[in-house]
Amino acid sequence: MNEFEDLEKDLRNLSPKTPTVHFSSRIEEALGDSGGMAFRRVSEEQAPKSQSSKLLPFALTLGAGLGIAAVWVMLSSFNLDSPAPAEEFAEQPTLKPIYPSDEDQSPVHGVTLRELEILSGMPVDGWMDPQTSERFLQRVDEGVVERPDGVPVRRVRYDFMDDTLWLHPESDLRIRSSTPRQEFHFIELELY
Amino acid sequence: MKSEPIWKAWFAKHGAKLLLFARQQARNPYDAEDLVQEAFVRIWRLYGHTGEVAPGLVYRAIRRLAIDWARSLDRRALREQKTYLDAPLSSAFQRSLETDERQQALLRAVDRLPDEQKEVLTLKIWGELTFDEISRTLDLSMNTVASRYRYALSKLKEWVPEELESPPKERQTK
Repeated sequence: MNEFEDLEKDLRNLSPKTPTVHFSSRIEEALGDSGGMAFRRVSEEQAPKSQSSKLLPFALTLGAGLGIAAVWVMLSSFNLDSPAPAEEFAEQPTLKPIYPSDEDQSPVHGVTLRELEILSGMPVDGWMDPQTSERFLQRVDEGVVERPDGVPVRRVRYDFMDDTLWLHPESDLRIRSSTPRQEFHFIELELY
Repeated sequence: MKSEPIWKAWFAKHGAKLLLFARQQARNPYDAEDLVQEAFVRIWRLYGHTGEVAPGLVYRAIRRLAIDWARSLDRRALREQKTYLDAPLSSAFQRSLETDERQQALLRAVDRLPDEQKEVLTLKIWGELTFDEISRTLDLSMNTVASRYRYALSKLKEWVPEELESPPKERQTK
């Protein structure tokens, strides 16, 4: 047993101050368009009541529609003058099945999780948290340059490769993404 | 159907921890906010499209920016901002009426720790990073990180009873 277990627990009970609303607004402003690159939808678990209330009008409309259709079929079958009623129904467009709860959790708008799984050929659930790593490639001294304020500085470029790895243990599927990154460091030179 | 940008949920989860770490890297609370903003925006622009960003990347960016900014500040500015250096880390924690005596003693003990141990403790306890992630964030070996963490805990274990027995410094000065 860890001798510091209780102490660590006590420390974790201390909460750092949460960022102010003003600060969060500043972040939002600074992010600009980048903030809207990825969205999440409120899942069914988070809003179970609102989901059922949303489904109620849909169910009522569907029920009423089916009722009217049934009456129309019955009346049409008694009308002998009507030419080939079966053909008329054959021309009606077929309704696509709707999976509202499934679609709610999909990260892609208008595509259900099931469709996403079929289209991508990859499982949707069961992925582990992505592992990220940074590889240092090289350091390049780019010589002395002048800053806008006239101070000479030495510019050093660092080349990195940021790797992200997603793992799906069940299917042993791996996705690796590598993004090159450059950092410039300016070292001030002593003036004599 | 309601939707919201993922960064908001991400920031709600990690924002307070990032600010706490930035407080140790910056000279004042305002610089700390600037550091978090700059680091988070940079990283999110690079990886935000994936919908998930490893917090370690942002901690590392904060650390590197802090080093760059510290180099660019002149000595005069350093002198002017010296007063903020005395602001204890404990001031970055939530205080409420429920904060008991032991927690207050613990915070006072944390303030007494050397900066390099506080840094590791912050990343481990509140940042919830692994030793490997901390070593990459601080550019230190994993052994150094682990021993600093252990030293910090040993000192806290020794100092908390002391802090509980003796009254806080503020009361003594009064």
